[in-house]
Amino acid sequence: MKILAVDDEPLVLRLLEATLEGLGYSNADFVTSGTAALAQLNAAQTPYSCILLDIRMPGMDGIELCRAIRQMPKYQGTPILMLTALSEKTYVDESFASGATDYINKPIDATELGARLRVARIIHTERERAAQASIYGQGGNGAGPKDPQFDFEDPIQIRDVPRVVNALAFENYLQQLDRLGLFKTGIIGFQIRHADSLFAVKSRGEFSGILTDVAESIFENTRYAKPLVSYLGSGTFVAVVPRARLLDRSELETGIAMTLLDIQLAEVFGPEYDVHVEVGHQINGGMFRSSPKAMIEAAVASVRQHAPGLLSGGFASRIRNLAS
Amino acid sequence: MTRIAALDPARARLVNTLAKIRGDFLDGLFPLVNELDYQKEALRSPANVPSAIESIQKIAHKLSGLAGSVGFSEMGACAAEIDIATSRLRQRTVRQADLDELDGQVDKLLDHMEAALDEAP
Repeated sequence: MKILAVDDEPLVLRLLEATLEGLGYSNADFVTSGTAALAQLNAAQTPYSCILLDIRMPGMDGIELCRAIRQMPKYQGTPILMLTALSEKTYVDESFASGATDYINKPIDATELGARLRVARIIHTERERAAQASIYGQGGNGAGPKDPQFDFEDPIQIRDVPRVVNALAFENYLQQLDRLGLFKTGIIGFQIRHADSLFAVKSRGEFSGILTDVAESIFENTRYAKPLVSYLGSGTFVAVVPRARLLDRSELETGIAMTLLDIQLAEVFGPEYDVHVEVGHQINGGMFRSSPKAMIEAAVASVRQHAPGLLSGGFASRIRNLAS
Repeated sequence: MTRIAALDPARARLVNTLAKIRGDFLDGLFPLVNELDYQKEALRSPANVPSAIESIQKIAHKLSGLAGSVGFSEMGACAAEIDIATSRLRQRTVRQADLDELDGQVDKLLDHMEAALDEAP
């Protein structure tokens, strides 16, 4: 696995180099600024498979750098792990919203870093396999040569929508919140009605376009609450919002429907569809009983009455199980 | 007679590298003590407070990310507290009570830094 580490402090980079070598990762490059990192990423013949970023750096900070990296097509899905000595929530929120996959506290703990890199390696391997499948394994479903390949249950990455992160980053974000952080948090589930039928009649590219439009609509209608949104597969989305911002379900459903209509009118060449998104109850964290997984499941169950245990076979859990 | 098992080469290389990094960290600590001392004094002059807070935060941030990794976890924790405190102070009006509290925190950090330097070879 090829790793790029970025930190303005040379001693931290030397520590990282030694720790990575000790963990068996010897194919790594180290740079001390965001500008140098972008140059390195652009020049790389073989793309990096994992990127470690310090959050606080002079000039371009890690959050800005993360955002810039996500704009590069070949790094849209590459695991990005943020490193920081600060545990203030604003930095963590911004990191995930900028496209980070996970978050590691400094001082760096070799065991923790090793565990996160194992997850990153699995993501990298799955991505490589998916890329190979989309090139060679078109199957017999009539999909065009450039149509992406994925199953209905797959929590595919939604691109280019602000504050939308992948399922693993979403779970990681919730995991790092302390008890009080979870208490201050609410999760809302969103379900595309008859998503399975849509999946059956649309091409994968069209279905993916619909998911992007729905993600955009969810973001537009919750943006004032600074949400973090994720797609979990099977037409189901979830959003983290502050507990204090109790959102009105029916207002949200109407707002999302209106935004979807606006998007369709604006997209002359976009797919035609009739999509309705249902909104579940906001599930707020309890001071003593909440776990992130239970909260997500409750939010999903609230919007999909007969789909408990959705996450047990989900991508994020699968990755965690493989890594542990 | 007790025999100590030899470390495997990779492990031995890691231990040597970490010892070297720790040594370089300690080498860089002395100028930071002087700088921190200087900025602590600067907090007494109202005109210098904003730049002194910024400089103190830079030092604290650097130490909070590094000290714990090279065996000085208390210094790292103390620096992390200052990093967070100064970050908040930079976003609001600073009162005398804030400066007094920061002064105490900086004193504590200086104690940790000097103790580390005392044990350096």
